[in-house]
Amino acid sequence: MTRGDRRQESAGLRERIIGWMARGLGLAGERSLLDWCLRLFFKPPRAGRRDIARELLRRVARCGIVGWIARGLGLPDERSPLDWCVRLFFKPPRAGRRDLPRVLLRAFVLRWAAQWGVIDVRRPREWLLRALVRPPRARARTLSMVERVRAALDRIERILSPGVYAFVWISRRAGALLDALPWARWGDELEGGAKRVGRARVVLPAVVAAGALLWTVVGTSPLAAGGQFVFFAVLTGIALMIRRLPGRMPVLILASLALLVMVRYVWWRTTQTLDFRTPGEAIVGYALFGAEAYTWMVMLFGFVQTAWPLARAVSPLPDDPADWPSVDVYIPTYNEPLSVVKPTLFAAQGIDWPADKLRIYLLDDGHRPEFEALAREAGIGYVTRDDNQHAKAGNINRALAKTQGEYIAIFDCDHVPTRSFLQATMGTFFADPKCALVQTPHHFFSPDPFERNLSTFRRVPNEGNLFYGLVQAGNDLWNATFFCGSCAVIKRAPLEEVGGIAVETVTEDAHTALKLHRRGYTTAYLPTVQAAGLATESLASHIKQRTRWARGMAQIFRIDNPFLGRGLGFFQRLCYGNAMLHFFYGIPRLVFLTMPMWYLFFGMYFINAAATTIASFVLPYIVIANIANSRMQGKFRHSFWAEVYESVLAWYIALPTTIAFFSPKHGKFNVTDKGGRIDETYIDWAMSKPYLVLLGVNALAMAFGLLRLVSGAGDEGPTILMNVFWTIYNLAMLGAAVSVAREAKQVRVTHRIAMRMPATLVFPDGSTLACSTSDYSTGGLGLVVDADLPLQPGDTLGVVVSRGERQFHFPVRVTRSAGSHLGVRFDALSLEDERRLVQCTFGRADAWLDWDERTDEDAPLKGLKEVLLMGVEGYVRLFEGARRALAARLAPERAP
Amino acid sequence: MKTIALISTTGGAGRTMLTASLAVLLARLGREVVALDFDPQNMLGAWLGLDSLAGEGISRALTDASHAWHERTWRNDEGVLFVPHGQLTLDEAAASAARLAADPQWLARATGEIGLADTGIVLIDTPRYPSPHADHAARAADLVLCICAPEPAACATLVAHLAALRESCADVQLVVNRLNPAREMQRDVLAMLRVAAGAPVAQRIHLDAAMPESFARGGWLFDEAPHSQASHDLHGLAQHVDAWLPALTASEPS
Repeated sequence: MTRGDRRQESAGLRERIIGWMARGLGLAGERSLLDWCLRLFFKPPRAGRRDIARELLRRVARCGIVGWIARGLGLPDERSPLDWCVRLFFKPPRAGRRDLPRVLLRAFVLRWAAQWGVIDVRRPREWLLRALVRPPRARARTLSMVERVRAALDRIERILSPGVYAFVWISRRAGALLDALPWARWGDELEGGAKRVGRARVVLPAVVAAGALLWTVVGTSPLAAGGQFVFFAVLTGIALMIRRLPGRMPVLILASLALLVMVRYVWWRTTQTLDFRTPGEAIVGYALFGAEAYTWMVMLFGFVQTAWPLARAVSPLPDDPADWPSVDVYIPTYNEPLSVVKPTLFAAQGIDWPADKLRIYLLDDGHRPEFEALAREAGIGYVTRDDNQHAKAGNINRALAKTQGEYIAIFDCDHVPTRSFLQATMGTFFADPKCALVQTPHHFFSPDPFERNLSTFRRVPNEGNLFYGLVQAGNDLWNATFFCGSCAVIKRAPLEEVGGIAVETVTEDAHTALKLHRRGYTTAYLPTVQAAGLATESLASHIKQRTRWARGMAQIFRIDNPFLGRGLGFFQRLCYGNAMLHFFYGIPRLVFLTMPMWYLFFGMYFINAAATTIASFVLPYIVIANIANSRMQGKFRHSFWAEVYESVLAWYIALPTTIAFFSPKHGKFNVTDKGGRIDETYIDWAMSKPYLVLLGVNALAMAFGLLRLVSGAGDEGPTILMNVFWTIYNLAMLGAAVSVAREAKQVRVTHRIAMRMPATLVFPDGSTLACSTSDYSTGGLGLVVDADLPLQPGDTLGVVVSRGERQFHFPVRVTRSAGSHLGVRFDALSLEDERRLVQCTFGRADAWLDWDERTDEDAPLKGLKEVLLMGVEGYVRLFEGARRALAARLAPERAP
Repeated sequence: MKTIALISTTGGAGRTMLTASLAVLLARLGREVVALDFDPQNMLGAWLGLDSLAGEGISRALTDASHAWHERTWRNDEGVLFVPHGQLTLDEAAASAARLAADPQWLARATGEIGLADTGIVLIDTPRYPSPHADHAARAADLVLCICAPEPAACATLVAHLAALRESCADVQLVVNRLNPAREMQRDVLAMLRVAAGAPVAQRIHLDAAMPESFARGGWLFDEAPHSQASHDLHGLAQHVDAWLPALTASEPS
């Protein structure tokens, strides 16, 4: 037998053995390694059944063990170690949902890597390295104070942020759920129900009487502290629900709730807390009580005044212009520059009114020849007088004698009217024959010191917004609108009847309106902006202006008190009274700002009650009053901003108003005012001295209080704590006041107003380009162009803008060209061109339609946060400014 | 189907340019457009993309009654169906004028034969008014766009003929072309025109020096310089006409 034969024989034997084994195991036909492995451990499937084990094993064999496990866990084909970690512990997300655990884990790992300085997170070697060795530090730079504070705040924020995120997420979900409720429908149903009740004759007085009784009972019933808190919680819940309903009814309900809580507080305060041990305490305690009584009175009057603002609509004029009356436009001026007065003159010439019935007069108290020349060239009347008695009031009264128009429109020299001013206002005189005055809002296209220095222009409503948006509209309901000195039309006959503009006080405008009301005439307020002007330039001039108003109002309160005397209705007295009482906030505000120190320094108890009881009464009052105010006024003033405005001005108006109240002829207050353009950022130390003093006092008091707390206070703890919080609040407000005192640099001389209107560019080669303006000023335009233009600064172009149907062409010079923004400067405009420009831009009827558009909405807590942040910023600026001033003082003199 | 005639009382007002631009812009908006050149100047074809002046066109039907007026038509890239005027000798021109004078309804009948959808439009370019061609176009049209440059001569002649135009066609709208707002005289003339015509100006087209350059290059100003004011104005005019026409429904084939 050959070797081959033997091999063949053994092969055949092998075959037979394998076949016998296979048959025994149940392997059939084609056999692979897979089948062998399978059959070694698993029995063959019964007839007709699937071989599950085989399929599984096949799948494993195909993608490997790892792949099989991965598939089972739900991992995608592209896998990373991160996915493994996540899937080992968390189930895969449902379809369409985010994989939250993975996101969080990834963020965590990346954060950790960032902290350690690991660049490539996938390499374990680098992790190991960084665990033992620090990364090389970047070149160290000294951090400024602000940066260090910011870094510290960031650290605190990082610690708190998980909790904050959770809270924010919860509140957002809750807010979304609440928003989904049908508030509008409920609001309508509420109004409908109220109307039905109002119509039934007997029901309404009965309901009112029952309501008043209930209100008094609830207001005066005593409650223990626990009960008080429950009451607070319930009322707050109700208030938060009601404030979401649209309409006017919820405003009234919230106002009554606020008054209810106030009545409780007043009752408790008056009956329970006014026993004092020593005369000193009595003085301080009664001072606080007086200040609080002032705020209660103002709040009550304020609610009545603004609960139902009248949204007066423009009344139509007679169809035939021949029936329209003649109007004189007065533009009084004293020492303002020509460039400020010119736009007003030109825009006044553009007012839509029959040309033979419109006369414009420039009343120049400064006797300046260039004004006379301009008036002659432009074709306007020029009126002047020999003396300057009684300032603006005297100026207008003299002009009254020299002119003949049936109506007089008065504009301050920097208030530029739109072309529709008379069309909008004169109709009201025809609708109401007894009307003697129509007032329109003062709108400012430049930021006032608060907006400029706190950078809140167009984000937060400015100080005047509350007055012109809400208070005057509320006054209008009660026929108590008063003249504001500008942007108004007065009928000549009633004005001459009361002897012209009043000269007895410095706020001649309000006094004139008071006299008109006493004679029985009516006044009207149209809430559409028909003119816009420049706001006060610096904090010093702002304070000067407000001090003058405060002094004037105090004088009127003294010599022509609206609560006394004949001719006024009850609500008219209330509205005027409120307007005047508002300006007496100086002393109460100072009292509030200094009160905590009496306890913390001298241990005087100015409220005779336990701290928790005080908190249980004051907290509901503050919270619900703020909710009510936010709903009523939120659109016109954000919550807690009134505190800032009052803190800034309190010191300055306290003395003049007090003196003027007791002796109206005295109390003139001189404030030095730099005026004009501000060339660089600086802190007005002169103006901010009072704030610094108060700040120092409060800071010391806080330090004292904290010291006492730390060194064991016993059962005085809550009182000290409450006073310390009060000082902290004061410090925040004073910080905001100091922040306002830092004058920001004004880069531009002429103010830019944002406006978008279509324009055409005409190039020297005759081609044209359609574009639109982004902003304008008296000096130039900002344009938005679609294409990249090959323009260099200094190139000449023509710009065409339109006024209604007519188009006007202006030669301009390019000042800058960057991408889609083009800045151009007007190039040598003639007088006619300047007039056309003003009438195309400032004088457009739709120029100020969006005057009360805001980007930020109000919420009480948000307002508080805003103000607190202003306070912190104020301190940062203060330290910066002090450091810089000190450095400048200590620096060696430079050689000339 | 609506018919618009572009008429002006002076030469060089821009009728042909506007007819061609309107035709193309309306075709881009999805309308069925027929551009009919009823001006012996025969330039509409050049604007719409022909390389040379069309030899045969609607004028052949005027001189020789055996030819149908729609024998020679073209369709350009944008889908505008174009009926040229055709070249005529002086004698043929006189004969066609006589024919038009004798048969006042000739053009109305011809356009009546066009079978467009309800949303379609026929634009007719005309020579200077008054002329037999322009007169026919005015009477055959549903809307007359009166093209006028803000120049004293143009406005004076327009005002003189406005009454007659209003008799021929109920709807007459003013379009001011070649407006140069840098010229004060033109601004004043525009204001006077508004008063004299007693109607507001439907659209103002600004003068742009790039317009004849685009034409020379064979392109469109609104393609080559889309941000030019004249381009904006042309789009505005097209939108105005599009709004005047019955609305396109979704099922309209474009």
